[in-house]
Amino acid sequence: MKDGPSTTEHLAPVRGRTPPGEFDRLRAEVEQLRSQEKRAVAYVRSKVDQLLRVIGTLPLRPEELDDATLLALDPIGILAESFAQILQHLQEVSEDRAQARDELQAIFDSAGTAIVVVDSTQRLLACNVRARELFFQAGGETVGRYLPEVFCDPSGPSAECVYERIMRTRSSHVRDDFLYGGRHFHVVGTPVKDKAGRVCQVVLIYTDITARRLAEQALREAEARLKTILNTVQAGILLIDAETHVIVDANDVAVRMIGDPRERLVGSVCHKYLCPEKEGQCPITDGGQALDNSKRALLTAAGGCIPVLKTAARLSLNGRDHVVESFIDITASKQAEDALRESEERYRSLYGNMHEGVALHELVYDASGQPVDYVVLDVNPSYERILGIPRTRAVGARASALYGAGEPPHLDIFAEVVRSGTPACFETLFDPMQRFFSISATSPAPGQFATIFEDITERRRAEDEIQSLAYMDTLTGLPNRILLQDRLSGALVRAEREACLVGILFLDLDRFKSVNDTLGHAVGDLLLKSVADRLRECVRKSDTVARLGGDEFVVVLTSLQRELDTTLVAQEILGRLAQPYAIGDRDIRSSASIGIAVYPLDGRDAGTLLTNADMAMYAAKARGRNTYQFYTDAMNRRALERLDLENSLRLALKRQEFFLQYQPQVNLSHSRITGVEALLRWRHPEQGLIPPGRFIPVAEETGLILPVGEWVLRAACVQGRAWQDAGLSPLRIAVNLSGQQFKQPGFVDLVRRTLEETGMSPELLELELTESMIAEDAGETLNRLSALKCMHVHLALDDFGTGYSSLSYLRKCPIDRIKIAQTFVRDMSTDPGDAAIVETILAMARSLNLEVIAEGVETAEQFGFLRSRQCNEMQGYYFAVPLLPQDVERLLREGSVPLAKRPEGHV
Amino acid sequence: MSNASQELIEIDIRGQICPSCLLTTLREVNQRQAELKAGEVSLRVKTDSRDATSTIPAAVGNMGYPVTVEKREGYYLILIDGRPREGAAQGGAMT
Repeated sequence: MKDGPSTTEHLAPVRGRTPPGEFDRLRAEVEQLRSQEKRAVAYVRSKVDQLLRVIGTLPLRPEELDDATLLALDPIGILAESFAQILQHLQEVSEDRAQARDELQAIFDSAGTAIVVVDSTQRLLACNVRARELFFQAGGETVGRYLPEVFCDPSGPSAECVYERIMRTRSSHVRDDFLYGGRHFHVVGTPVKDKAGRVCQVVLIYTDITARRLAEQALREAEARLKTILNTVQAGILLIDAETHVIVDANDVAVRMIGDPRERLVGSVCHKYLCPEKEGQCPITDGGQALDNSKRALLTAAGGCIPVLKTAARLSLNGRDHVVESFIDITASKQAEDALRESEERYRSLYGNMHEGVALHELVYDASGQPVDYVVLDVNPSYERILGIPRTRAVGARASALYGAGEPPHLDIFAEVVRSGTPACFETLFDPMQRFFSISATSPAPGQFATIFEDITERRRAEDEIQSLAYMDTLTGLPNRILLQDRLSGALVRAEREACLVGILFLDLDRFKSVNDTLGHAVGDLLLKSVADRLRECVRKSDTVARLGGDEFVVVLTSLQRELDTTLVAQEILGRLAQPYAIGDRDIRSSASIGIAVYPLDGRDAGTLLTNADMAMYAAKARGRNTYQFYTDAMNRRALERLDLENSLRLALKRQEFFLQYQPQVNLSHSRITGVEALLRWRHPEQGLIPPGRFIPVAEETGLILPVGEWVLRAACVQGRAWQDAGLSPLRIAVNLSGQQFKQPGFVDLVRRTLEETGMSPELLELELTESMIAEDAGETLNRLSALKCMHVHLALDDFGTGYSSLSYLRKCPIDRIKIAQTFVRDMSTDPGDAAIVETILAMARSLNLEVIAEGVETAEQFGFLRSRQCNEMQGYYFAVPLLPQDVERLLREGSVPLAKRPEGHV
Repeated sequence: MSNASQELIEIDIRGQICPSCLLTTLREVNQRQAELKAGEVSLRVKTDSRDATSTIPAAVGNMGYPVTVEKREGYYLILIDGRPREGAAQGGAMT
């Protein structure tokens, strides 16, 4: 092509020399070449235009570029080269984009915020790592998840959904506080639109602002707290600009104390109110102090002046120097201080001139905090005078050394005064001086006490004198009628509280008048003194012997348990007073009559009781003197009977009036009699059979129970041995013990000896105890029971359920058997409560592995009830009454279970 | 992005009309492509053809060069700037 344009130039010089044929051939050839060139140029132009179109510009116009220039310019080459560059650039751009996408992904995943991208149907398109951690902890595929299923909590508050809002407004939306899973999120939602402007994706960015929220809340709370403190604190607080001295802020107390509204305070110069006298001389800003702590005056709006204690300190707020001044009203403390000083001076002069001794002490404590001594801190002149101890020796000295004896006097009283703050007053004999003091103690300060004391020795002596004149019989030295009334009243109050008896013995000497008349008053007085002495010897210290006047005396016996105890004292007195009196050179004989009244039977007040005793005394005199008489007939009768019974009882053993009956105990499992209970009987020669309920208490009161009990034990053992020898099947014999018997020393030996001497098998002897016997003195009781147990003696607990039934002693004591008390058995078929008790006892015995026997079984109902509850041992009239030995023997030989009233279908 | 060490090459194609100006400019760009890409030169094309103010930036832009057009008194100044590759990568991330 480069040669094209030169072809025609090259041909021109040969024109004219060329033959015509040749010329035409050449011309045709030229034409052909020209047309070829034209086609070539056209081709080039069309290709260039095509390329230009691709590149985005207009086609090439011929006038713009002639053919020759066109070919020289080589546009195809240029364009091809440009296209190569375009392609290269495209490739570079593509690489850049791939890299950019990777970068974006990295940023996306490393973002601290959770990012979720959803499509227009709320399906998840993508989410970053943080979003997966926060919202998809369960793991699994996240893409395709339906957004409301993840976030929307139907139970939560229905705030407008960010997503829905974006879809509606087609613009970004922010939600400040979105709660999810207990955390707060700041949510930014941004729509992504397609070319048509429709929202095709939504990008949701969740920033966890929980910490910020909490911090904000904490900050708010702290601020509120500070503000509250600032306004509650009992000090006025002003914040002052250090440069201008202008008040910047004031708390409520400052506003209240000054009395100007806050608006006027703020903006005012501080000197207007505080430290006004030295305007411009601020210790902080002018004096260069970091802290000022001084008493100042506060000027109030009303023109008043309040003394305050002011503290000022420099501080920097927002980069600016400030002074914070706080002040408290010290009017009250200033007044108190002054008052205290005055009062101290007043009291000092008062104590100094006081007639009474005054001392201030301080307690001394040991390491454990116990007061052990006290030290003298101060004393007044009267102290020195009264005690004879100079101030110099007293102050600083310990009471234990100062007051002799090594023991600090009345430490417990003073310690209590200090502890409780309650003053104490008491009178005491100060041994080293043998003088009485009246002391009052108060505690003026913690750990300290002040004593005010006075020597009352003289007063005390005078008082004693007066007292004895007023309350004592001058002749005998016994209490007179007035003191008697007093003592008796006191005894009655005590007796009521302790539920015991008081005996009043009214005593009159027989024929005293004739002694006075015949031997003279002097002898009569001596006789009365002797009587008084003898009466004193007949009673306990707690009792009272009084002389009413003339030959009348009253004896008050306190805290008695039994009415008849009075008779013992009365007999004693009669016996002693009947002894001869050696007065001068003669023996005088006398006797007395005694009337007895007993509280509360014969009266409840001192007057009534004395009157009734007096009346009884006249009755005694009428009965023939030298005797005593109760106020009530019933009492007299009982006293007589009791005396009689006691005398008979003493003889009963000797006269062999006691005998034993045996009540069979039936074992239903073996359908036979396996035991008997020995029961004591007393046949009085005149009165016939006396019920045990009458004579056992007397035997116990008189102590006769011991020989009687010993006899019972021996008799039962002798009988047991006799039955053994007679070849009867082994029969257990139960013997009741009394408390005194069980407690008497050597009781275990007595049992052992009795068994040995009678030859009775120990395992056939059963001793019945009561709950009260084993409940007291547990240790000693256990020893006894164990000793008995070692001898193989059976032990049974009688009347079970009526005393203190403690499971713990039941477990501890080696008891073999319990006897259900008759009272429960009697009513159990009618009283559900008693039935329940019986059932409980049975169940308990089973679980403790104890044998049980029910006593007092009298009816078929009772029998049936017990039987149905597996109570296999019984005793009572239903089977047999207490029998004589020969009757028992007969029953045993018959070998069957006795039934008093044999009901159908049983046994 | 131009800096002090850059060489300024000016092509005055006033009087030429498009697409001839385009071709002229492209030829210049092609010839200088290595220097342009190294950021060693930048081209200032003076033209009075309005068409060229759209065709030249489009074509040269597609080839990966930043192009700016400024209107001057009686002509347009088209500035073709060479720039280093890493700058292109950052620019890509932004788009």
